[in-house]
Amino acid sequence: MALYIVPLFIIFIFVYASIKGTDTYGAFVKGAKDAIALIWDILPYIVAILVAVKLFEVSGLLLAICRFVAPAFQCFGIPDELAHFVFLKPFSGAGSIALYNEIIAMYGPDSYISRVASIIAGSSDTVFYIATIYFSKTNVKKLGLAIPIALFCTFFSAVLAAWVCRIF
Amino acid sequence: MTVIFLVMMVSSCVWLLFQKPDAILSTSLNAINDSLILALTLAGIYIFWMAIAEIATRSGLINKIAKLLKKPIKFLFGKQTEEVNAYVATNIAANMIGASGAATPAAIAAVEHMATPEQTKASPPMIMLFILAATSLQIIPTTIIGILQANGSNNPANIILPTLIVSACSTLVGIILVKMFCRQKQKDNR
Repeated sequence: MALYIVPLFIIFIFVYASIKGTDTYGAFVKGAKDAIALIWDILPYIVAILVAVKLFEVSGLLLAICRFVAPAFQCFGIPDELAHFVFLKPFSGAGSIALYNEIIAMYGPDSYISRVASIIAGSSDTVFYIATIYFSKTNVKKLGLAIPIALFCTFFSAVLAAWVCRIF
Repeated sequence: MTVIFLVMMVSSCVWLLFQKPDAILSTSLNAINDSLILALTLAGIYIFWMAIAEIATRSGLINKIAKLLKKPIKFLFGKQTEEVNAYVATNIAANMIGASGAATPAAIAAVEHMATPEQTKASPPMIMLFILAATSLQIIPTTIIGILQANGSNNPANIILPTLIVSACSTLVGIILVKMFCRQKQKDNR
């Protein structure tokens, strides 16, 4: 079912546009042109955040901090096996998907650990990456409480996922 | 963002200095390589989705969706221009169906139009948009289901309902926190 939503939506847009008499070809080309300009603008921001995150990961600091907070995570019911995953999620999209694949392969796709990991993966996003990219076309540098709130929500969804999976 | 970047860079580099100092440069260059590849992948995705979004915008479909979402948008973001409303509606609709390639460019445009050129501090509507994206609005987690399926799960669709519950709760908590703690300080700072 889920497989059909996006394709159907795309077909719907084309049909709707042609009924309304929109120049679909012209619009498509204009959108593509804007996309190329956009990617050019946000590239430096992508580089900055990826370099910072990669250094943070490779240096072992991420893992060190993670080991430090893992016991606290456990107090809230987040399984020990997932502490690293929960911690990595806000930093690295590619890294957390790779780790997610490892978890599924190691514990089996229908295990408790894997189901909690699946929910965490599906209910939060790469906070630091989004924070960089969303504000890339402005001069906004001070995000105030944006990141603390986002991180709290990520943590909250992990705690909730651990609970929900015990019920379901 | 400046502080986070600085802290991550300096602490990581100092930490590496005592372990493998040669890794600093090689890791950075690797990461830049990765970002170029990512940018190229993203370029493909954005080109497709922004082209589709442009068609949807010109046909008036986006405005229809914006009208449909008018009440929730007004509640979450306060009074915004028509243009911003359209971008926000695109972002929300795209996030819901899991087309993040369409959602991100719309969000960048929305934030760009909410900000004044000299503004350096994020306003509550910007933070709200950011929190909505960070807590994921996606109704059906297609990537996750795909991975579960590939690993031989008995019923990968089982994950949909619990994910939806958790996701909805965390989004709600996010909205409440933004509404509670992020107040507009200057009235003209829209």
